[in-house]
Amino acid sequence: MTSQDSTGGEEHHVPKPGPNRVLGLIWAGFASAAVLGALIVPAHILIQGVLGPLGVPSFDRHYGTFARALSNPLVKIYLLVLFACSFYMLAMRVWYVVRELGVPSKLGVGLFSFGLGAAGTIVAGYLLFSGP
Amino acid sequence: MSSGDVSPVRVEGEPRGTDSDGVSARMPARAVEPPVAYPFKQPLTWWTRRRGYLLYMLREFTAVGIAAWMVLFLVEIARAHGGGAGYQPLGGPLFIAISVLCLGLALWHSYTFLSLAGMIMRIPLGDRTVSPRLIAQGMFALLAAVTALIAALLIWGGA
Amino acid sequence: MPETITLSVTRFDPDQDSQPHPQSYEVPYQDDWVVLDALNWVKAHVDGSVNYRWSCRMGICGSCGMNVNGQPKLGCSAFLREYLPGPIEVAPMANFPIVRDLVVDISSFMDKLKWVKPWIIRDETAVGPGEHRQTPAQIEQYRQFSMCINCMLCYSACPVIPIEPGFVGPAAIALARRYELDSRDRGGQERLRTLTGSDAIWDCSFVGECSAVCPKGVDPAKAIQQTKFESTLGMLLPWGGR
Repeated sequence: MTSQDSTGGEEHHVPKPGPNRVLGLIWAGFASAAVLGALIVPAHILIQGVLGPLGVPSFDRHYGTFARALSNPLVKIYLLVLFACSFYMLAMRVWYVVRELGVPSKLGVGLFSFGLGAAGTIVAGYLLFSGP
Repeated sequence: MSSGDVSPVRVEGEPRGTDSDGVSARMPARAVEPPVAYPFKQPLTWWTRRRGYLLYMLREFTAVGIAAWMVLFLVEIARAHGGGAGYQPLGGPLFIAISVLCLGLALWHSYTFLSLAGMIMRIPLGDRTVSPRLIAQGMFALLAAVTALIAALLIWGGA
Repeated sequence: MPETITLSVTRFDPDQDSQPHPQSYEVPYQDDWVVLDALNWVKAHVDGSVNYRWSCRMGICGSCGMNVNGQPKLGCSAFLREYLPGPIEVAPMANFPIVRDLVVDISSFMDKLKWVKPWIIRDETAVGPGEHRQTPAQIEQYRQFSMCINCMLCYSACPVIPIEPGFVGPAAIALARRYELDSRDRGGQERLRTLTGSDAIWDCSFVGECSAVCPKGVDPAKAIQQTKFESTLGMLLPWGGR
């Protein structure tokens, strides 16, 4: 069913019915990543970024403690989750904002935003799981 | 249809029956093609025009701040790959300043997202629903607890 | 108190103009006048060719949506005293094509309302004896979303509409939620198919300004986010959702 508007403008299309599980999963992933990130990110920036350099004994201050932690598989998985949440949030938000700022190409913006997110997560995975 | 027919249906070009005053009207059944409406163009500065739009952009920008700090953390991990001799953790006043900024952005993300979690979850309680404020407060309490736990682990790991 | 205030009204005559342009009118200032009063004065005394929609002049019909100083407002709710000393820019609602002056083409919105099936859907084919009973507490569940007056200010405020004109939009989704939460309705699955498909809830980036500009407190942003959450729960959990 299509309709012509009274001023002879473009036809109004009918949306395709769902459920669109792909979009649903993408959104659910984003919402989960955003909530999880909201809970775990501040602690890392506070300790490692602010208090650590100011003298608090954060685990990354010395090679010994840092390497020991990074060799623990549970730590690797946790940190991968931390990075994945952060880069997934980045991807989704860049996707929305760049398009809302007027960039028209859906494919271009999609490749850019999700490319950034994927790149960050892949680099994180490589660094975490190929390390000493 | 012949002329003078009093059928109420009028098709294009067909004359109406005469009115009681003897005046006949001839009118096409379809109106003339209307002119095209002037399309709307979104100005590039639309997001500066309302406080709500600016706050939205700030909320979305927090993702850039968080991701940027995570890249710095990845730099540190990459440094650790180089072995113990040359390892230098990130530090100094510039790094601390950047971290303070990113921490502010991360906390703004946490504040906005955890409050919104209260609104987005409709938890029925009989004929009512759990108050969104209560859910948000629960989320903030959880944030405090998780932050304390992770901080303790990071410091214990550094001992 | 000033004697007069200037209104700068967008004019567009499709037969004569290549694009819209502002035209200024000096109107008498009254402390209790709204923009709609000023426009009616202009039309009656100065320029009868100004076109705009209005009806109830008390914020219930939803006809007089317009842009006042760049903000989506009902013309009958925008008091001149809020904009002193002026001039006041009166423009058609954003995000809609302009038919003439302040009148915009709302046919796309009319279609979108229909797509969400805004009526009680039940299984029975015949109307049986007796009424559907509903407690006040049950009515409270959906009352907020039933207050929409179709003024379209939310569409005017939504930054997604210009980039996705097919987006079914805040008012339509809030209306769907009104029926979703109505204890008498059994059409959840049907409506959910429309809402979780293309051009619907997944287009929304939760800017939230739709709820900020709503003159009736409908909170369409809440309706959309709740629909996202509940529909994904329904997709992911084997027992969950409807």
